Amino acid sequence: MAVIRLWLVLLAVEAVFFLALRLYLRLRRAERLRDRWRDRHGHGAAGEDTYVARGMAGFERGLRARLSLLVFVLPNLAVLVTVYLVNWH
Amino acid sequence: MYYARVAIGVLFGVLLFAFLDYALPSQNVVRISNTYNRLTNIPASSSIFWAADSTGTVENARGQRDVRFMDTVRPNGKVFVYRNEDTGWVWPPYFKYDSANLQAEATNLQSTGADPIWVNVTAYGWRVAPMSIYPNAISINTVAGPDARPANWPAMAICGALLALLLLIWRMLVQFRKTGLARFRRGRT
Repeated sequence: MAVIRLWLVLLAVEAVFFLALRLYLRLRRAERLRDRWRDRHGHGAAGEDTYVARGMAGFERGLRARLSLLVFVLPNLAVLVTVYLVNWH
Repeated sequence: MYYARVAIGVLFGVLLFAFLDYALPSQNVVRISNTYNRLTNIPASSSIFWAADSTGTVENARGQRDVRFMDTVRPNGKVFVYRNEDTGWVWPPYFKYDSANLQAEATNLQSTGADPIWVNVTAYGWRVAPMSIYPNAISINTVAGPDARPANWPAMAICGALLALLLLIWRMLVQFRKTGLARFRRGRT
């Protein structure tokens, strides 16, 4: 039962971290898009929000969004590696 | 107020260092002189320095456990005692459940001062004699001689990973704070 408890706690921590990481990546990308628009057209030029929204559209299919799913893989992998090294190595 | 903040900061740093020093694996070259089980009293005050109850450990009605121990001798002649308990799937996260095998290995590598077999014992925890607490041995490897100093790769890797994680969390907090303020100033996204 300790295994299930460990796994549930790990899953909860991973989920919280995953959401925070997703938010961070989105905010960072939006900020960069905004900065790029302002570099080209100056502060307050019309069309900025549309530009940012269009740039954010493909975020879910991007490499960073997909790599962020590793949050659910790497800790579990670390547990398995530890189990192997401690008990069979 | 300033001094209070400094004091709290220093205390936090010391506690963090003590925590890592306790929980990270450490390595020592020793010679195993004896291995045995002993019925051990585990008072509530020091129970956090022993394996958790749910690891398969059996306690009798008086709160005593039959714990595996290893007596060792360091190259400088001083003695050092390890315990050998399963951590199971509970804290600290070593997921160790081969303590019977480890004890058999230790017994096999037992040697006398006249004909020593030097081994590198990986363990976590502290030996504090007044509290009767012992570091928990994790693995045993034979080494060439008493002067061998194997690099502590596991602890370095864990420290590196923790540092990278801390850096990422710091970057995330900076981003949240910055974007949050910008959002307030602009009134909308």
